[in-house]
Amino acid sequence: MNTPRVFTVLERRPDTHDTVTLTIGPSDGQPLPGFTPGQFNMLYSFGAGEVPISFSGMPSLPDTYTHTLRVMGKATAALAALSPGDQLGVRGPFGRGWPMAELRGKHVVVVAGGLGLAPLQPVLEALAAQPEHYAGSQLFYGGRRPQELLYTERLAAWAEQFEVQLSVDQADANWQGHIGVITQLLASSRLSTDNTVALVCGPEIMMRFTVQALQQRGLADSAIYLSMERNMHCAIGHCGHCQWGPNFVCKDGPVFCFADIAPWFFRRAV
Amino acid sequence: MKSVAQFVREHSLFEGMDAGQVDFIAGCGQLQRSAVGNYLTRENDPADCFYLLLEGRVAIETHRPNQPAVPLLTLNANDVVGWAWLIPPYRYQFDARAVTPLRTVRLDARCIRDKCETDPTLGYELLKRLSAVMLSRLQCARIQLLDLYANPSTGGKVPSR
Repeated sequence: MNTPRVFTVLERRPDTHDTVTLTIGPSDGQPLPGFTPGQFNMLYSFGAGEVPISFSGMPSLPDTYTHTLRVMGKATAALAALSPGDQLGVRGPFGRGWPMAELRGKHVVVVAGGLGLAPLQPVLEALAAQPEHYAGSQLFYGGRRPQELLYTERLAAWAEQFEVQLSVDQADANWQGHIGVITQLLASSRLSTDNTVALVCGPEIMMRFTVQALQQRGLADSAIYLSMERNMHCAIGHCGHCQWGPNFVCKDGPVFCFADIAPWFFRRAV
Repeated sequence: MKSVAQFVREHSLFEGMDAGQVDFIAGCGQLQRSAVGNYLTRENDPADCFYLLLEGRVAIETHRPNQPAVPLLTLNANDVVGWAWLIPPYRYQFDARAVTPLRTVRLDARCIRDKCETDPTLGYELLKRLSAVMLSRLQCARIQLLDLYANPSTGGKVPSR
């Protein structure tokens, strides 16, 4: 798991001006380890660097992994520039994912901001594929502009299965959806709080306000899960770059139950 | 058919408020429907009313010369549209345009202000509730200003390609 395995890019799909989704398969043709949505791989662009990227595809596809990444620096720019047939290194899967088994029978509220929709996509696909396994589902997704929303085709498909509320920070008068912050929608929407689990992923400031909005609606700390982001390097809890309070985000997270991290979640400089 | 008072009582702005006070306020209201594209408020017009949104979506906008309007936020059912009626010089600061068909309770501003002057307890209660709405809008505007979803590596700039 600590030596990168060589993968080949099978498909490259641009999502927005700075975000692409890569579907990759092992170049040796050997079976892949399974993963839980919310876990991540370390993707290695030869000569450019290695970055942690969450799984954004379905675990049920045994021969491939799918990752959505945004161009942020040298390594992600190199990965985003890969074309079908190009190779990359992969270590993983790493970390702790979303509590998929715990979602069964519950009302699932998914709150995503920006690129935070990517690690939640496999959860949403599971909710849409087997709605009978859940008491209900809602998606609240906030983005910068309508053109920067991810997976627009899937958003439309999910909206046929469950409530999907979209919000953008900026738009022109042609946008018929909501303009404002996602917490505003959370505050005014009908939100079940009984037998409910909330899954939250987005920029940390957005998650802080989202947690407060969910608490105000009566959701227990133990019913809120967050995917945290820190400076992950080794992905196995050795290097210490991603230490956060008593945890290593790469090993103990990136998904945490809010009840477990509440003591330092709002603490500065941790 | 529901009365104006029933709609007002069920609106989140008045949740938990004394029924007598709510009915007193409802006496200043009337039900109104608005078609898509209609304006509830226009920038710099006298702020002679405000609206309880029952159904539909409203865009709060400002205008600029020779350019399309700039929507700043949208409001949905259970939101309040307009508070310029509360503070002199009682002029709207922004346009409020119906994005979808609307059903609202239109509350007459002078009528409400007069009732609040006559009954300071009612006035204080209403002011507390409207302050909470204003605080929430201010906080949302601040979060929007943070441009949270911008790509930090580009400072939010979108390449022209």
